[in-house]
Order: sequence, then C-alpha cells, then structure tokens
Amino acid sequence: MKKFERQPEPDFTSLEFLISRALDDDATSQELRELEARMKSDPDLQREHESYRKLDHLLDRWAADEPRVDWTKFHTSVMAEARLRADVAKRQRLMFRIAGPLAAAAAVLMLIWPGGRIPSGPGGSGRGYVHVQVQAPSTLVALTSEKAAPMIHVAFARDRKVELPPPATPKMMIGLVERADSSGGTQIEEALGTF
Amino acid sequence: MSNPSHESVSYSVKSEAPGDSDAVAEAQEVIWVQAAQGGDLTAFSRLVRIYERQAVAVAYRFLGNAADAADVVQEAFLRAFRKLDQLDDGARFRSWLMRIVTNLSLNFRRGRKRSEAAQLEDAFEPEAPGDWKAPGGGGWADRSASSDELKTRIDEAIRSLPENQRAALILFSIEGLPQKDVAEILGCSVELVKWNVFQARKKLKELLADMIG
Repeated sequence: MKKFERQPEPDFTSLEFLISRALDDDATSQELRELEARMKSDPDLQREHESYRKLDHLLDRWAADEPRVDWTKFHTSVMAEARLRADVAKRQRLMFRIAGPLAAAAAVLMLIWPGGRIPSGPGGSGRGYVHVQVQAPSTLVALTSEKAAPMIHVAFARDRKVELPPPATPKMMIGLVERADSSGGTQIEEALGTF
Repeated sequence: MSNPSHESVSYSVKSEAPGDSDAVAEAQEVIWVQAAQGGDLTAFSRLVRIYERQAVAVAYRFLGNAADAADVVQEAFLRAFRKLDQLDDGARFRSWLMRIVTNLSLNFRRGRKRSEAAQLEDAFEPEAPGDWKAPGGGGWADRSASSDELKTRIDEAIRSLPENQRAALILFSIEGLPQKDVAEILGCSVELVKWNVFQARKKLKELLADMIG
C-alpha cells in the first residue's frame, strides 16, 4: 500500500477535525462541551456539523448494501482449495525429502559404477535407466533426466503401475516404500535396491 | 484440551467467570490460530467461518463487486493459511488477515489480473442493476433508478479518494473495526487513522454536497 501520498499536514487542532472525532465518539467530554459552545455562537460551524452528520447517514445507507454471497459455497470452496494446497505442499516436502538423497545416491552410483556407465540391456543403445519406485497411495510423480548415458529415471509410483519409456530396461532399481505414520505424515520404511 | 491432529480437533476453553464471553471467544480463537499454524485444517476452517463475512464485506467496499470480493478474500485466506507461521501473536489474527484483504483489494484495484476462480462463480447471485439488499426499514426506500444513481455516485466518490483515506474510511467508519486495528492494518498511527477518516469525510462532503443538502 502506498503510505506516503501527498496530503496537507495534519492539523489536529482544527474544529472540523474535532467534529469528525465527535461523530466517532472519540472526543472528550470537555471537547464536546467546547464544540457545543462554539456551535451555539457560530452558525457556519453548526452547518458544518450538520453536513458531516448527514454525510455519515448517507454512508450508513450505502453500507447497508451487503454483498450477496452463498456463504456455504464460499466456505466450501475456500477449504477445498486450502486442502488441495496443503496436500500439494505436503507432497512437495516429501519429494524434496526423497529426491535429494536419491540424487546423491544416483550421483555416487554413477561415479563408482565400473567404467562410469550403466550397462545397457538387450537391444539397448548403451543407455540405461535407474528406476526408483516408491510404493504408497497417492499420485504419480515422475522425474526424468534426459541426458546422454547414463539416464536416470526416478519414478514415485504409488497405486499405479509405472510405465517406462522403451527401451525400458532399468539396470538399477531402488524401491522405496512409503507408509503413513501416526501423525498423518509419511515415512520411508524400506529401501530396496537391485543392481 | 486434546492434542491436535491433522484430521480432527477438539479444543475448548471454559469460561472462568460469568460475562467473560468475549475473553473466552478471544482465547478460543488464539487456540484455533495455533492449531492452524500446525496445519490443522479444521481449526483453520473455524477461523474462516468467523471472518469470512467481514473479510468479504471489506473487500466489497473496496471493489464494489461481490464476485471480485469473493475472489480476493479466497486468495487472502489461502495466503493467510500459507503464512500463518509468520504470525507471532494469535490474538492479532483479525488485523493481520484484514491487512492481507486490504492489500489484495487495493492491488486488485490497481489492475492486477483477476485470478481464475471458476468454482466461485456459482457461489453468489449475479448483481442486477439496482439490486440493493435494503435493510429492514432503514435502507433505501425503494430499488429505483434514482437509488442506483445515488449508489453509483457514492461508489465513485469513495473510489476517488486517495488509498489511505479510502482504506481508513472503509475499515473504521464503514466496517467498524477498532482504530487500533485499523492503524495496524494500514501501518500507521491511530492519530493518522483519525486524520485520514476526517480527510475522507471532508472530501466526500464536497463531492456529495448536492445529496447532503
């Protein structure tokens, strides 16, 4: 929000400001007495006060117009979106928890694998795949690194069967089993490796 | 008080003395805020229930359109949920939320692209011209062309105000938020809130002089 728009310097002692505060029940008893005394002897000031009072009445009527909203639908919509975003955020946290160590493991494997290359399968082109399968009930998320050999295919498979692009001959398979824990989160309980 | 879980929540604060309902309500709200900070959606849902009407009303005063107001407030609640961990004092949730609503409303007015909110389109009735919801016996006398014109003129007058005057007037004079809360929402002193309300009134008095008489 722009906080420093050009405005006249506040004059907190002005009578008009006092009228405004009085209308907001923000004036002291003494200030109210002084204002009333001044209005008795100053018809212009009295007219000012009356104008502000009428303006407030007009604004009250304007404010009586309330937005027409189906509150049940609104609330349902907000909470549905909140749940969706919370679920996505939870999955992303899980992905980051898994992807980091996996990436590190894959990098280490690539470094230590004899010859630095993953052997190809029958009919393969010298490229291989590391297929990482996570079994847990949820949505499938797949990350594929399209590079020259070796190729790393990391798939988080839950209730659905993972489909690998041909030639789908993973030479390294690391299976992670994800299970729900008592706090509502998930934990990796098993890590299966096949090389 | 039970331990919070992500799927269910059961919190209660018992009143210590008769007539303590406001304090109890405030204490209860702080508990819900803390639970929501831990990711408890049930607690957050209760906070939404408490503030959805006031939040939409505030946004509506800025935007003049229920659809836009609902869009903005949905986004405000979602941002609040995401950033709840930044709120140190649960007792300040209302002013903190309204600050988000106010800022988003002002940003929306400044030409921010309207976010897609197709799921909200059927959450409210279309606003027909002159479709005022008159309060019982105290609002506009009738839904007439002259009523529409008056509303339009007041809408335009209020929207012509500088942002800080408009915000102070809407939050304090129209929506009745405490001056202290308004000062916190607008990031200024209480005295400046009062001054901006006065300046807003002064300008509106000039713009609407023929309506005031």
